This record gives sequence, structure tokens and C-alpha cells, in this order.
Amino acid sequence: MAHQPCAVVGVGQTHHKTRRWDVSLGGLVREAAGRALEDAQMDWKDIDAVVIGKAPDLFEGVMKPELYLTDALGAAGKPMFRVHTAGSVGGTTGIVAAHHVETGRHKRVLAVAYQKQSEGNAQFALGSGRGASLGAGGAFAPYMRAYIARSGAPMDVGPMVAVKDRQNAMKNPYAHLKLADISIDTVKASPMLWDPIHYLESCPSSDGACAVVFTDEEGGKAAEKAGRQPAWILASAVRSEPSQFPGRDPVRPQGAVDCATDVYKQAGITNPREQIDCAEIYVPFSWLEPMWLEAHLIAEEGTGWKMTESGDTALGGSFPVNMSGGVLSSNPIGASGLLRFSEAALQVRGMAGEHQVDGAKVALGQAYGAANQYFSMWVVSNSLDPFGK
Amino acid sequence: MPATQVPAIAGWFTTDDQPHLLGTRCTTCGTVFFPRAEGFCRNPSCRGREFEETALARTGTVWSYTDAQYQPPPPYVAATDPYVPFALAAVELSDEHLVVLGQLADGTTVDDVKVGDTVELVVEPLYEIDGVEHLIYRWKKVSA
Repeated sequence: MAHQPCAVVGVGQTHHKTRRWDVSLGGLVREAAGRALEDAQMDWKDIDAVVIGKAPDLFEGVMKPELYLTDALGAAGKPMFRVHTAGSVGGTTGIVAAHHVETGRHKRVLAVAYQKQSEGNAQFALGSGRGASLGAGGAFAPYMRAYIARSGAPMDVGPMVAVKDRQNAMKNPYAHLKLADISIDTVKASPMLWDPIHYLESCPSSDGACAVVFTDEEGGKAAEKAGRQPAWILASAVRSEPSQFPGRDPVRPQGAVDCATDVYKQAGITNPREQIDCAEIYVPFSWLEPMWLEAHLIAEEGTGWKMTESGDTALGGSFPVNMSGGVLSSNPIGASGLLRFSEAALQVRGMAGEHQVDGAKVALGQAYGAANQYFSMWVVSNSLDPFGK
Repeated sequence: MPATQVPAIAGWFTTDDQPHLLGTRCTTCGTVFFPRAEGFCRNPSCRGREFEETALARTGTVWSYTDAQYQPPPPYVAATDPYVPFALAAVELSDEHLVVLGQLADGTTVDDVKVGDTVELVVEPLYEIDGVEHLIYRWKKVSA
């Protein structure tokens, strides 16, 4: 597909907390967007179009949030586009915003994704307003048990992911959970919610927002020249599949495999394990780390858990995953996908602070949604041609 | 005196001694659906509009399982006070190979099953409201 290069030149996020009652919905998104604009050295008036993404409107009970938040995002009179792909929405929002630049439609696009879960009842909303819901973890628990049975993974792998991500979060000033004393023992001693998921292997419910400023090749190169390293989008892809159909496998969804295959092909990646330096992937419950490593072709089928167990996915390992603390440490659902994509961009821009992977040149961002049905992925780099064609 | 008993959802399962799940089969392409499909066939390559009811296999193998360790929020009605966790199994039917989620039989916990076990369909009371017992289908482990 022929398109123009697109650069990430500004990233902003809020401090993610259980309740951000110090700001309204408008204040929440403005906090993230303002930081992104500052990072991009732009003002509200410089933005040509706004793409806003969030998960179901039921979470806050505000329908058509894109209309409601127009003023807060300086978008009066500007094109505004709402994206909604369940939990993957943050990622899809970034991709849709990038498309508006890549197709030459707009020069500078602001993407914002958020969730203010404290203003509603998340479990009720996740059950589509029908109540009596088992919660998201209840839906995923059988998939994880099936993965454990198929792979023969030892039961400590889930808790290891939970510990790693929370330890990484201690190095991220924006992260929600700060569990300095977490250990495999404390995870296993925490209440079992839905076998095999313990309380400490589950994501929090967070209020938070994330914003990204995208611009074209000219804008990206100007930022680079001014000493502000952009992240170039090498590739992006989305896939979705229904929850029930003959041959459906929620443990290794075809959509997950197809999305990865597409994005790697676009980026010129033939060996993701070697050519990608680090990854931010959507892991709200521990066992999804090994599952996504396999479904996205980074680890051979049945071996993803070995990458976790051996420490490969730790911050100092050979394939760091969720350096920011990930969804396990902060989960404003609508924003979480864009946070993954943004953290990948921060890594290749060298702006990840204490959770920076040294020399990260190529990073993967991934988000998923619903019952392991929706996938969005992107590959970013500080070079337009990192593999030297 | 046994209370009046009704299926919690009409038309999804029989309540006799050898209970079955009830699905529908498209008469054009033969695809089987559970829960029942009516009106039009969900097979993207089929334009069928006619269905016949079909009794599904009574047995299957455990594809996976989990439990609900905390009481779900309202309008969930807990059968006991205090709440007792219930277990669920996703079961691959032995004939149709559909994977159907349902509770495990009363008294069964996640420690009693593993992936691959054979189970059969039973019908048991879920709860009683105003003297009426509401029945649901559940999966019961078949002894080797």
C-alpha cells in the first residue's frame, strides 16, 4: 500500500488512578492532549483534525463523547472522528489517526483515547448493561486454562508476569499501581477470582487518558532536526473475528496471527524475535503475555511461557515486554491500547526515562479487545529504514 | 412435596431423565446452532431460512473450565447465603463439536475436573422464586 511516512512527534498521558475526581471528562482528556502538544511544540490551533477513541459509552454514560468533548480538545469546526473497537480501541485510534496523515488528508492529527471508569460501573458496562456479569477475567479464565493444558506451562508463569509488570511500573511515574512489595508468594496468596486468575494477577480499573500528535514526513524530519526524535510508523494493521464460528480458537485466534503476519510483512520483519527490540502488548491478566507472544509469532506455539520463565521478557532481558508496567499496572480501558502504542514510540524516541530499553530501535505496540477478537498492532522505529533495504 | 419446576429458559433443553440441549439445524446447509438460530442461517455462504429443532449430543469433553469465586453483582440471585462459588465448564459436544459453556453439576469444583474429562448433561435447580424452582442444564463428570 503506497502511503506517505507518518511520524509520532508528541506523546502525553495522565497520571492513572482509581479516581481522577480532580478533573472532569474534559479536564482528563485535556491533560493528556496538552502534554502531547507540549511535547510536539505545537498549539491547539496547529491541529487539523482530531481522532478520539474510547470503549463502550456505558462506562461513563455519556453518549457521543466525540461531540461532547469537542470544546475540550480545541476541535470546534474541525473534523473529528470517533473510533470504537472495544479494548483494542486505543491502538485502533492511533492507526486511524495515522491513516489521516499517511493518505495526505491532514498534516497534523491529534489522537486521544481515554476512560473515566470511576464515573460508572465497569463490571456492569462490560456485561453490556445486563448485570450479573462475571467480569472480563471470568470470560478469559477458560482461555488461559486451555492454554495451560495445551502448553504444559508451570503454574508460576502467570504470577511471574504479574510481578514483572508491577516492578516495571515502579519506574513509570504515570502508572496506577505501585506495589513495591509484590512477589510470586503474595500473588499466589491473594484471593482467587476466577480460577486460575488471582486478584494480584488482574488489572486495576483506572481513570486515564493518552494523546499522540502525528505529522507527516516534513514535520517529522523538522522535529528530528530540532533535536526532538520522532517515532516513524513502519507498519500498522487491524483484524477482527466473531466470537463464535467453526474452528474459532480464542487461545490462538486467527485474527491475532493474521494481524501480526500483516504488520511484520509491511515492516520488512522476517524474524520478529530478533528484529524487534521490545514490545508493549495488552496483558490485563497475567497469562495473556505468553499467549500473545505465541499468537503474534514471536515465540513458537507452546513455548511462549518459556520466554517469561527465563526472564527474556524482563526489562533487562533479551525481549522486554511491557516496560511501562503495562495494562496490569494501569487500565483505563479505552486508553490502554494507545498507551501501549505510545510507550513503544517513547522507547524508540529514547524518552522512556527509567523504564527505557537501551538502544531500542524497533518497537512493537499491540492491543486486543472483546473475547480475544479485535487486534491492532503497529511497529515503530527511530529510523525510516532500520533493516537497511 | 416437590416445588413446581420450570426451565430457566424455555426451549434450550429438555427436562426428562436423559436431558438434551436443543439446537436448530438449517435444512439447507445442515449447520447446527446452539443457542437456536431462527429466521436466517448464520452460515455466510447459505441463504437458508428454514430450521428444524435437533437434540444435541448428551456427552462431551471438557475444553476448559473456571469458577466464580466472588458473588456476581445484581441482578444475580445467589442460591445460598453465604455465597458458594460455582464452577463452569466449556464442553465440546461429542457429535456436533460445538463448545457449550455451562455450570458444573452441583457440588463439583474446579479441583474435580481437568481438560479432556468426559461429562454428560444433567438438569438441576438453579434457585427457587415464589415456590417455583428454575432449572438449568449443567455438566456432570462421567466416572471412568
